Order: sequence, then structure tokens, then C-alpha cells
Amino acid sequence: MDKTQVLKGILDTAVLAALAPAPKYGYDLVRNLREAGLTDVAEASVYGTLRRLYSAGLLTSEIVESDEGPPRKYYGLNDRGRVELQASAKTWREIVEAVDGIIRKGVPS
Amino acid sequence: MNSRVDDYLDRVERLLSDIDPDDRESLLADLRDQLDQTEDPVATLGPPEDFVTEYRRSAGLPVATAHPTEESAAIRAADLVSILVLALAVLLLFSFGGQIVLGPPVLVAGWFLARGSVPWLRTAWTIVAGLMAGELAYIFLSRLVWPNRAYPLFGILLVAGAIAAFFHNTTRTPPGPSHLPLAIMWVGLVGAALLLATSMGRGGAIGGLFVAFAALALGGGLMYLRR
Repeated sequence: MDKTQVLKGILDTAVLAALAPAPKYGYDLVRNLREAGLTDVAEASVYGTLRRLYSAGLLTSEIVESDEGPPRKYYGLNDRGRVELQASAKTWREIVEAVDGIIRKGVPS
Repeated sequence: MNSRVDDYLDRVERLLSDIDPDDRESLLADLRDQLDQTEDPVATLGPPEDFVTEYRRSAGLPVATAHPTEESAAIRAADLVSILVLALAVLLLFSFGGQIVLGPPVLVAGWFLARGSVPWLRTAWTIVAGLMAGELAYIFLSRLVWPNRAYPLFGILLVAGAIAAFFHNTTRTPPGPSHLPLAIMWVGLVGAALLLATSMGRGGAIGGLFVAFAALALGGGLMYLRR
């Protein structure tokens, strides 16, 4: 299975979910997704997704000074982002449940 | 940070020269973080061109502008022809006596030559489209449908609608898509041009036509640049 294609389909939801607990800057988010197991996710896709979700009005952003380098832009969820996350998480669970049911019938354990 | 990383970041910065400076700076700051301990940035992030292409795709930005300096000689030659045809079209369009008869066919030829060419010329293609649309709209409105006295009312309505929509769009939270104010400004410009064309009267018809075309072209170009 081409994991990259599956990731592309679910990346918006993963990014929203990863930002839900606390705001993060771009590289912080990349590390977070990697540590969660999305090791194949492309950095460029994550940074681009962040920009698109922000442009769509789903995220807040705040420039925070850093001791270790240039100021960083932290992204967090706003109310619209939380609503979107709830809806897309519900859709994702429905898909997982349906596909899992099909796979169980096709590949008995 | 080594010179390969600096070169990589410079390349990414150049390839993203058209996006919002704040977005570009925050991306570069993230990449600096990520590449801090890296010897070979290409091994980590892939070639800068590929990185930027994927970034643009994911961000919903036009991908074609990711390689502005890498056009082939054949494309450059085709662009040169397109520029010449476009220049000829504009000359014919605004030269006395030739504007209605020769303008549209030459513009159509220019448009077909221009389609799908290199990114930095696409504003020009948008201008061609604006000119064509403006000419057709002008001919349609002036000769077939409305009597001239309807122009001021039409212009006033367009301008009023544009101003109202512009303020509605810029004051709501969160703000609407960035191209919307420009689209609205475009409509307003067309309305203002119609008003101006009418005020110039019959003797100034060509001047009014020019203003209407210029407004359409300016609006179209701005919309493309901000897309």
C-alpha cells in the first residue's frame, strides 16, 4: 500500500489534532507527527498544510521570541478549527470502522 | 550551520519569493531549526525545487511558479513570439480605426499562443483575457442591449456594491479569502470606468474604452498576482 497517499488524505486531520492540546511551531509539529508514528510524512507537506489551514481560518498564529534563534510562529486551533477537527475525526473513525470490517471479512485472523 | 544549508535555504527563499514575507520567514526559521545539525540538507528534505513544489501543493499555492528560472529555450522563444503578438494586439486595438475590426482576432491569436506559457508572463495573459472581455462587454452593452443613459446607473450600482462588499469582507472575522477584496475592487474599477466612459461622451469614446480596458486588465492582473 502506498502510505504516502493515505497520509495525504488524512494530514489535515492529523495536523489539527496535533495542534489541539497546545500551539506549536512548524518544526515542532513535524517532530510531533513523527514521534506519533507518521514517519513517512514529508516536511514540505506539513508546512504547506499549516499555511493552508491558517489561510482557511482554522488556526490562530502568534509570533514568539526564541532564545535559540529567530522568532517562531506558533499555530493553534481556533473555534472553527476545533469544529472542523471534530467533524473530520468523526469521518475518519467511520472510514476506519467500515474498512476494518471489510478487511476482517477478507483476511480472517 | 554549514554553507550547504545556507545555499539550500537561499534557494528555497528565492523559489518562494512570491509568497507572503511573514509566511516565508516563518518557514525558513522552521527549516533552520530542522537543518541545524544537518550536513546534507538535500538528504534530509530532498532537492529544494521538490521541497518547494510539495510545499506549494500542500499550501494550495500555484505550483508552476516554483521553477521560475528553469524554462527551456523553446519556451522562451515561444514567449517572445507571444509578447510580440500581444504588443501588436494592443497597438491595433487602440489605434484609430482598427480597434473593432482587427483587435479581437489578433487578441484571440495572442491568447492561444500565450496559454500555458511560463509563469512570470501569466499576468500578461490575464491582461489579454481582460482586454477581450472588456471589448466584448463594451460592444455588447453599447450596441446591442442598453441605451447609453443606463451606463451611469450600472456604474453607480457596481461601485456601490463593490464598496459595500469590500468593507463587509475586510471587517469580518476571520477575513475572507485574500483574492476576494481584489475581485471586488475589479468590479468597482469596471463600474468607475463605465461612469468615466459615459461622462466623456461620444467624442471621447475611444478614451473611455481605453479606461474600461485598463481597469479590467489591472484588476485581472492583480487577481492573478494575489492568487
